[in-house]
Parts: sequence; structure tokens; C-alpha cells
Amino acid sequence: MHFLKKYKNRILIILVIIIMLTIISNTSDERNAITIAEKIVGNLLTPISKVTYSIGNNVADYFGSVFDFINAKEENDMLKEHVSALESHIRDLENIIGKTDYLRNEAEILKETKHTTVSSQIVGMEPGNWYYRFTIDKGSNERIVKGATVIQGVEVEQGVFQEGIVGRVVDVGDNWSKVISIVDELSSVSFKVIRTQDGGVLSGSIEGTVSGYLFDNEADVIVGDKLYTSGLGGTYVKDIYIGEVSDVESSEKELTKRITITPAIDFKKLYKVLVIID
Amino acid sequence: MLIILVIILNLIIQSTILPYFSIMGVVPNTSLVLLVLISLAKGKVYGSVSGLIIGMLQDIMFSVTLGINSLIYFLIGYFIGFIEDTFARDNIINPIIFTASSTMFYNIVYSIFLYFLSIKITFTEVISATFSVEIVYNCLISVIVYKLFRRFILEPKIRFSKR
Repeated sequence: MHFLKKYKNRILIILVIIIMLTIISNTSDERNAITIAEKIVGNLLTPISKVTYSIGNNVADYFGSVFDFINAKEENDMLKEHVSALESHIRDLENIIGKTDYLRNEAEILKETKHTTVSSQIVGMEPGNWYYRFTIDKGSNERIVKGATVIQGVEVEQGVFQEGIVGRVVDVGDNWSKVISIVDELSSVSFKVIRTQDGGVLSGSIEGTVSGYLFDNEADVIVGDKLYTSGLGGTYVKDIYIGEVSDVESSEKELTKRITITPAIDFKKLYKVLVIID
Repeated sequence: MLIILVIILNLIIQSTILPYFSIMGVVPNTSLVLLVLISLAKGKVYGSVSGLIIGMLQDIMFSVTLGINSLIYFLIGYFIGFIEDTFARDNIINPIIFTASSTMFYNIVYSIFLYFLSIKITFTEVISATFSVEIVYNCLISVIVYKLFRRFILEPKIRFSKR
């Protein structure tokens, strides 16, 4: 007893550490169901964060640019060049001004898509700088299942709309789900080059870029090629637009061709996404 | 009770509004700042328990693997509460030193966990994550919060009445 009393603190600390390590090792794999505790916390906090996230969006509209002051000089020069070019476009654009915002993308894609989708709002981003993950405000009540593909409408060319890939659902609660985007380190996407039908695998990185390699090292791929998901492995629905190749690098040693891509979606400015539920 | 409310409020603000206020792509970790201030003011018991709570909430809300943040925050809360006694109380240097060192500690331990969870991460990435602008950003917020709420943070150490 004397021993217990003397080292009470240390024993407690070590116990907590052991418990935490057990939890970490048990939950580090892909899990099938979320725990009850997770469900309760998620159900309680999601409605609140939904409100604050909308407020944050509005606040950021006013203040967001103030915090970009580091790039201000460079941006200023660039913008001056753009202004003159843009002024001549204004007349043309006034014709289609009702269609120019984000909602047009979403409306077009809802019209053209073959899949059944649920539109949902993003309610929170993972704090910290390691991951690109977020939570959305729809869950199993709206028939979202674990592994569902998350998309957003993007304009590939003038007037041509496509489903652009955002990520996939990893956990589902009643009225919320966690989404891992394709720029996250943990996610890999199998793709095909639409021009030549060559396949390969892409994955995200800690720095937030997306790069990958082609299965065939003699495949003909050039900068500017458009990539679509191939559906291999069943993780993502096939034929969804990923982005354009921005860099090709062939290495003799590894017998592979590495490519870096520019995703079609701007992951820093996500607000609403569509979840495929069929 | 008040502490728990502040913790939840902070988590919500941090995950919704703060991402818009990133400098050079770095988001400040206000949970960590809050934890440092709590443990400085209340000692190791409060520090470690609120570290556990903050970490667990953050894990549950956002990450697939549960427990990493809770463990790190727990250790930070405990150690700061442990060392806090030996430092002068009302000193503006304290929050700066503790915030800076715990930010580095957090990032180092986090990357160790990432490594052992077989996520590929290179040494340069670890270094750049550890010594990033995040330290300066966190320290700034920590000092501002400390100045603002000094009256609440610094309770008298000796009490003559029972609680």
C-alpha cells in the first residue's frame, strides 16, 4: 500500500498512456463502424459547427484578403495586367452574368449526372496542418454510406461540365460524415488518361500536392492530359474528372513514369459538395 | 464547467473560422494555446485532464485514428503543470516559452506517430513542420490571450478559506 501511495501519480500517468496507445492501435486501421461516443459527440456538435462555419464564410469574405498581404505586391502587378484584359470581356460576360457563379456548376452537374447525389454543406475542417479532411452535414439519414464518392461540379472547358472528384466518405454518423479528400496523404486514386486510356495510381502528400505513376512506363502522357478515375479497386466511382497533368518525369531506375497533377477542385475553397449515394 | 465550455467553443471556432485566417498556409493551433494557459493557471491535474478532453474531442470530430491528439495533449498538460511551480508566476515570458516548446513537442510526437502508423513522411518534412511559422503564430495568440484574460488566469496561489 505504501508503494501504491508513493507512486500514485506515476502509475496513473502510465495507465493513461497505455490506454491511449491501445486506442490508437485499435483504431488505426480502417474501421467498419464508428463508436457510440463518436456518434453522440458528432450528433451534438455538427449543427453548431454548421452555423459557425457559415458565419466564418461570411467573415472571410470581408477579411480574407487582408491576410494575404505577403503576396500583395506581386498580386497587384498581375491584377493590373488582368484588369485591362477583363474590361473588354465585361460586355460579353454581362450576357451570361446570371450563370457565372458556383451554383451554375452545381445545377449543370445535377442535370447531367447519371448518379443519384445528395447535396451537402461542409461544416468543419480538420484543425492543424497535417491533413486535408473535413466533415459534412449529411449522414446515414440521407442514405450516405461509408466509402461513398464525394464530387463537385467543375467546368472543364467553356460550357462543358463534369463531375470533379473531391474525396471519399470514411465515417458516417446520423447527420454528419467525415470526408478524406484526394490531396490527403492517406488516399490513393486509380486513374486513366482519357486520351490514351493508360492507367495508373495517384496519391496525395503531406504538402498537399497530388502525384502518382503510370503502370506502363512507355505510356504516352504529356503535360495537359486530362485524367479520369478508372474505378479499379472499387474505391471511387469511375469516369469522374480528377485534373490535368502538370508535370511528367520518367525515371530509368524505377522503370516508372511519375506525374504530378493539378486537381480540378480548389480544396482551399470548398463550401458545398455532392455525395454519390447509388 | 466553464473550462469545458471554453474548450468546446474553441474547438468549434478553430475548425470553422480559423482556417480562413491562415498565414503562409499555416493555421494556428488554438487548442494547444488554450491547453498551455489552462495548465499554467491550474496545475498538472487540470492540465492533464483538460488535455485529454481537448484531444479526445478533436480526434472524435475529425480524425479516423482516435487517441493521438489526446495522448500528446495529455502529456503536454501534465508536464507544463508539473514544471509550472518552479517558474515565476506573473511573467509574460512563461506563455511564450511554453507555447513554443509545446508546439514543437506536438509536431515532433505527431510525426513520430505518423511514422509508426506507416504513413510515409520524410525527415525534411518533419523538420519543416516542427520549425514552422506555426510557433510564432501560436506564441502571438498565446500572449494576446494571456494579456486579455490575465485577471482570470492568475488566481492567488494561497487560499485562506475552504473552496
